[in-house]
Amino acid sequence: MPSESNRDDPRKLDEFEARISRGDVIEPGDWMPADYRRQLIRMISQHAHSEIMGMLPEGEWITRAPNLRRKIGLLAKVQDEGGHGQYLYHAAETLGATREEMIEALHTGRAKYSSVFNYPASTWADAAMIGYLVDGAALVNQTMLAHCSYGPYARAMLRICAEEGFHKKQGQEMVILMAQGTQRQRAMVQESLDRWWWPTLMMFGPHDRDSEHLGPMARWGIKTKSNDELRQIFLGETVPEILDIGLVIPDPDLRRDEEHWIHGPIDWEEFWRVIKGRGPCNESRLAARRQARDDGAWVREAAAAYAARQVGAG
Amino acid sequence: MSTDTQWRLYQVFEQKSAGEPHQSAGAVHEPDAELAMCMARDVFVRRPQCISLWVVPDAVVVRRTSSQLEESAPEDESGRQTCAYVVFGKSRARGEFVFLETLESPSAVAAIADYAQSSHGATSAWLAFAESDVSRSAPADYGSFFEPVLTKNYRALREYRADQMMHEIRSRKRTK
Repeated sequence: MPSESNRDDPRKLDEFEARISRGDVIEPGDWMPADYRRQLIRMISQHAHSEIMGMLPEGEWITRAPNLRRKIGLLAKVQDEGGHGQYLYHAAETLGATREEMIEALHTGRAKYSSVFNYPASTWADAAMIGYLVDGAALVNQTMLAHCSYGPYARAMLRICAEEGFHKKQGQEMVILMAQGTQRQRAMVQESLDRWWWPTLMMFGPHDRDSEHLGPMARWGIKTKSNDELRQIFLGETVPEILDIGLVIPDPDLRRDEEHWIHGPIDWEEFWRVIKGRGPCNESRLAARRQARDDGAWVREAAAAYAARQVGAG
Repeated sequence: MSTDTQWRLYQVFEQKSAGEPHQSAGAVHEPDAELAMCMARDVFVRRPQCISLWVVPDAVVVRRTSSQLEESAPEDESGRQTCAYVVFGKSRARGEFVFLETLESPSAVAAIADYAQSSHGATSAWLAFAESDVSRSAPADYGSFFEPVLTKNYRALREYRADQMMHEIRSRKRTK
């Protein structure tokens, strides 16, 4: 695959790769290969988009939470996701991306975000299951990225992981309570697991054998574990817990051999369909974001006009 | 990539607790200092502990490394008026700039050179700006900006009984 890094100064590239092998952290302003910058902007901005889009499925349940404690917890969680998105957009800006370009790419469908957020949150149990499974899976990925070579991204991951930890615990507590609750509650949370299990596994991306060659992103200290490795970590943590909780994982082929969790076939056709915009909620989620942006235009105009007037007066 | 559509860049500095110096936290794009302060709070210290935030327009921040200082001849600034300059530094490439000192100087560069002479090579990079360009979080804002982090329990892991509940489930299974 043709690479812009072919145009990079080979001496500088060698120095950069030596820095990476030494475990140096790359900071804004440091020399970096064009490909490193470009791939990081894409990764970080799509991570930011995922946080913002992730506010939507759970946000729907804030007005319908069963009690005040759950409402407050959900409000805090959704507010966190917004904050995480902001933090990540700022990290991408340190690489030269602009907020306008990133938002435009999201709203026009050019930029991707985690496909898991294109599914509907149809029951209250979904609010619990999303926190437990989706945040749990995100934590596995983000724990890896907290050691990545780009300073602002690694630091963002540390802060985000700390908060994501409480999201997962909040979700897990609710899942346990419902699984041990009334027959209706047990049925609701089992049905939720049936719908969210496979989309969660898809979060880790295609199998290694089907992924484009990682090459530079692994060599340059960004993606240090493969998709399948991350998926295995998640399975190792989550499967025993779910079985102990007393729920049934919707995968009759799931079993453990000596080293790995063997799981049934993932429906990659569904994965690509949803990533490409044809999932159940892609249209409505993007429409909600465009609406939010349009509704907020007057605030941006007012802020800019006020600032201009201050400069004129000062 | 176009940059002229972006609002003014402000550098953000946070003080995590009393007795600790301010350190760099990141940067925000906002039309003015007041909004930069609000955005800085929401982005960088929405949950992490903090007691004070500063924002400074990036355009007035002067940056030098120790090699840059060695290379350039010092300007003759005698006779120029002095004012207070805030100097931050860091001792390695990794990590954040940390507040060092505020000192009277004819310029930001002179303030850095002045500090560098007395720091005996411990610091490798500096940034400096006039104290008058700093916007600080007000004591009156403490209650809304920073105090909630300390008192809201829903963010505390101990508030969630998931680990305790799993432990009980597994104990029950073992005793069966």
